[in-house]
Amino acid sequence: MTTADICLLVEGGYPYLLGGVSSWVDSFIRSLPHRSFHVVAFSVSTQPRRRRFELPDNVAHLTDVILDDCPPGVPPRRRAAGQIDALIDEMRRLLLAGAGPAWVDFVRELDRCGLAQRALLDSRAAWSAFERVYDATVPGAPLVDFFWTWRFLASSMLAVASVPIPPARIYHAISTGYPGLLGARAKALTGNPFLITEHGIYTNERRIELSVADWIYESPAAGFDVTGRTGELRGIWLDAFNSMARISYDCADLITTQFRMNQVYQLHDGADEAKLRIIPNGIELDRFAAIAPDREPRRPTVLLVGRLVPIKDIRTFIQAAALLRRRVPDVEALIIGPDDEDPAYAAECRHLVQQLELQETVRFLGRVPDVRAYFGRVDVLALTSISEAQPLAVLEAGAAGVPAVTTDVGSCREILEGPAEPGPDGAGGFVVDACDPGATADALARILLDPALRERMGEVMRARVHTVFDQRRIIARYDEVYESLSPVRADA
Amino acid sequence: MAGVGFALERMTKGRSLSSTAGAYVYAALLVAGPWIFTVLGIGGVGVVACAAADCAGLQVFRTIIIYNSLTTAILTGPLAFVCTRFVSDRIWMKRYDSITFAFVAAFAIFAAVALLTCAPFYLFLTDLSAAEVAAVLQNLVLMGAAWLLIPFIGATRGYLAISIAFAVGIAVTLVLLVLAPGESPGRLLSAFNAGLCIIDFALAWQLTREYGLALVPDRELLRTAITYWELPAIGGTFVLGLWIDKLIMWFAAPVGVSVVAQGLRTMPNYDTPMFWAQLAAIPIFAVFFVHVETNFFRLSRNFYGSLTREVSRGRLVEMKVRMSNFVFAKISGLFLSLAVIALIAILISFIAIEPLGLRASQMSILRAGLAAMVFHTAAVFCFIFMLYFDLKRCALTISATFLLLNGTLTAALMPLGFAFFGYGTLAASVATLVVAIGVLGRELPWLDFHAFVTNNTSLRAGPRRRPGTTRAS
Repeated sequence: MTTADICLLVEGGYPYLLGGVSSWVDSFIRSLPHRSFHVVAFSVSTQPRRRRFELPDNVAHLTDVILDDCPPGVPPRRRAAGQIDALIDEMRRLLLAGAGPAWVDFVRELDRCGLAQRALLDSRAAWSAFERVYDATVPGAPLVDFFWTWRFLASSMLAVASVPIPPARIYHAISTGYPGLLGARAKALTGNPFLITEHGIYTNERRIELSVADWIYESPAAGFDVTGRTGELRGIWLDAFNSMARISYDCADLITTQFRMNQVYQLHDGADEAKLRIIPNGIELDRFAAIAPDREPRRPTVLLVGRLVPIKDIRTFIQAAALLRRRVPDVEALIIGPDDEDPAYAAECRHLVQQLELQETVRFLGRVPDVRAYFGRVDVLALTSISEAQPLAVLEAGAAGVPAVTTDVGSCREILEGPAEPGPDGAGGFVVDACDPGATADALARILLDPALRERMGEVMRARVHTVFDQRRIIARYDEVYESLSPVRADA
Repeated sequence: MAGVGFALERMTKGRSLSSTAGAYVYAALLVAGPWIFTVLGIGGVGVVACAAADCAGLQVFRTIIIYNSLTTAILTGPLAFVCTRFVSDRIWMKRYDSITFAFVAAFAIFAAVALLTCAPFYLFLTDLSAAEVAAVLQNLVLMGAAWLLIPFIGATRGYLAISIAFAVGIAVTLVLLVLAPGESPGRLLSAFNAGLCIIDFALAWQLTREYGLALVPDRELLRTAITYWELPAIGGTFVLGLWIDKLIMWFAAPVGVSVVAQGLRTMPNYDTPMFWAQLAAIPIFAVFFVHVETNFFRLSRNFYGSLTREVSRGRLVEMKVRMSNFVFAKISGLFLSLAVIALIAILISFIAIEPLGLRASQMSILRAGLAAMVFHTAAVFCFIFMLYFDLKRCALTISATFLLLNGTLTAALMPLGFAFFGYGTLAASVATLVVAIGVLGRELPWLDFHAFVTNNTSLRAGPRRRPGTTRAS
């Protein structure tokens, strides 16, 4: 196997699933044709394996790490109970309160002894150790739920700790979590540099997922509030993801993210401030800069680009449209995005439109071939999500000179108001609280009813996106990071 | 048999002694109906067809039935274990469409192997006429069909139907022999085969009534046999273990071997007392299925059912300990009951020696056989518990131990002479019980481990994606 320049560690689907991060990864690799890549895709055994992306020419190899399918390893020796017990106890510590040095010791020990599933999950000694972990961690919790929790976490950790390290000069994880764990292991075993790029903060995303996960049993007293006290099994999952983040941060040479707020979370999760860098998302400006505003007479138009899923909070957008219609009676609200991911929620949204008698106002356009065709025909972009990182829709609309009203999530405030407080260049739109239809409607009305404001905000957005989010410039920054991290090539 | 067991248990709680006794007789018929009615049938054939003591045809007939029973048991044992698992899984999944196919497939395998191996044997190594060989092979196939149909009907707790079918079939045999008397092996076999036809027809009718006539091929049957390879091995070793001492006696005993039809060797001096000894276990089997299995079913349902009810480890361990204590208490109780039955049988044998068709010289074999029955049956109960817990390899250890020891020790003690016949089986039974108790004692504390890890099919679900590296282009 040839040594790649970059080993890209990706959880979340590339090249098997479509999505924001997958698209970013594909575009990123294509933007660096002079570098060779080895992609490591993390997935679970039930995930479909049909490639949804054609791998770029500069991807030399693709390695699959199946998280719930760790290797059997060598059979345990007759008197290995003590060793198994010690390793499982170490796994427990790593999962609940892990740190970089402990992970490095653990992977070196596993590398030396060769133990994996047979010894550490399926043996009687492993069961006894598991019982001790249960008693020490969640005594009284449903055993079957803790079993599956432990089984998946331990098995996935062993899968990451056992997969052969792909030969590469730099290891680049596109999140903490499992890619971060493998990157940390690769760094420990090869000594080569390890870089993390986080789009969304892994621990935050997992926290949101876990708060709505109905497969984790909790007593009703534990509650389901994402901000409240977590139940004991949810707590274990969260501890595990926090540990993975801490291990990743400890071992990384450099940690990049797209905006300042993310760095606050990274610091909270244990990242060393000295390692943190901001590299925003980039977009291909040429594709959007040429979109000219359509001057034909039309209804005042608001556009929302997003999947019909709860995290986009389309219901708030629809309620805002109802309030907006009172002040802008002929307003039209367009929703572009697929509705097949959560059909129940999509149906709920359509029902709400009927209930509020908005059939003449709100239109669901579904998936469209090219969203650019709409940017010239709308007055303002709306984004009501309850969680985002750096939404491409806002950047793309901004590049075309469309102002936006967004919730205060991810980097939306930085995009609309600039990296510091709104300076002399002004704001490219309004930022409102999440789940607040009234504030959203007010902000949209201000832009729709004031053509001068709309014009000025559009220009601010266009200028800011061109200055800060130019993909060529962003890619050059990653290239510089790679160059700065690159070990001296033996063949150089 | 737990479903039937609950009803039987209620019957045994009747107020009068007669109702309790009746319940146990009924239970015995359900537990061992086919066996009991077959024995009664063979005995009845002798009474009805042969008035004279030296009825040569009857001896040939009985020997053929023994040979065919042996062949059928050995060939259907592995198939029946696989089919039982397959049918249970299908019933649990409420997918009944391929069950009839499973029976037909198992029967086809049995018939092909049985005919290919036995036809040359009967044709070339005995002096039976072609017509008699045809009747023998017909008997073999009909007997195999009946033994294979039993687990399919038993899966839906149709034990009563099975016993009634056997009772009616044997009655038809006897009626035919009364109406058309004769003592040639061919005549006796034809009557017996007619009875078997009735049994097979009744059981097959019951099968198709439950699962339909359509034959829906299902690869899962083969996958069951491969995945649970221990099951056919258990079936094979268990049945062979029961017969191995007889086979060794027939072909290696220095004295007492009887040869009929020039090639059919048996040893009535050994077979008959051992057979009666084994028959003595039936009452305790009835007790096992009426009382022990039903109560065990409650405990195991609590234990395994609790896994889906968010139970804590502490509570699960409590239930496990309760179940383990129950198993050991019942094994001890059953062992004592078996010992009492054996003792009573030994005492009765002194006065019932003639009705049992025994001679004084066979009494030592009977005593050894009864003692062996006590230990072997207790080991079989351990074996059954292992299967309840789905500890297939442990069950295989027990059946293989008995097979190995019964064969080895019977052969080893044979040179010591007639006085030691049966003691090989006794020693093997004692050793097997020791092994079985040891295995049970080792595994019962690990029931939760087995439930979560060893027998957890979710951990070994179908074809999965495999990790690995591929070239990108």
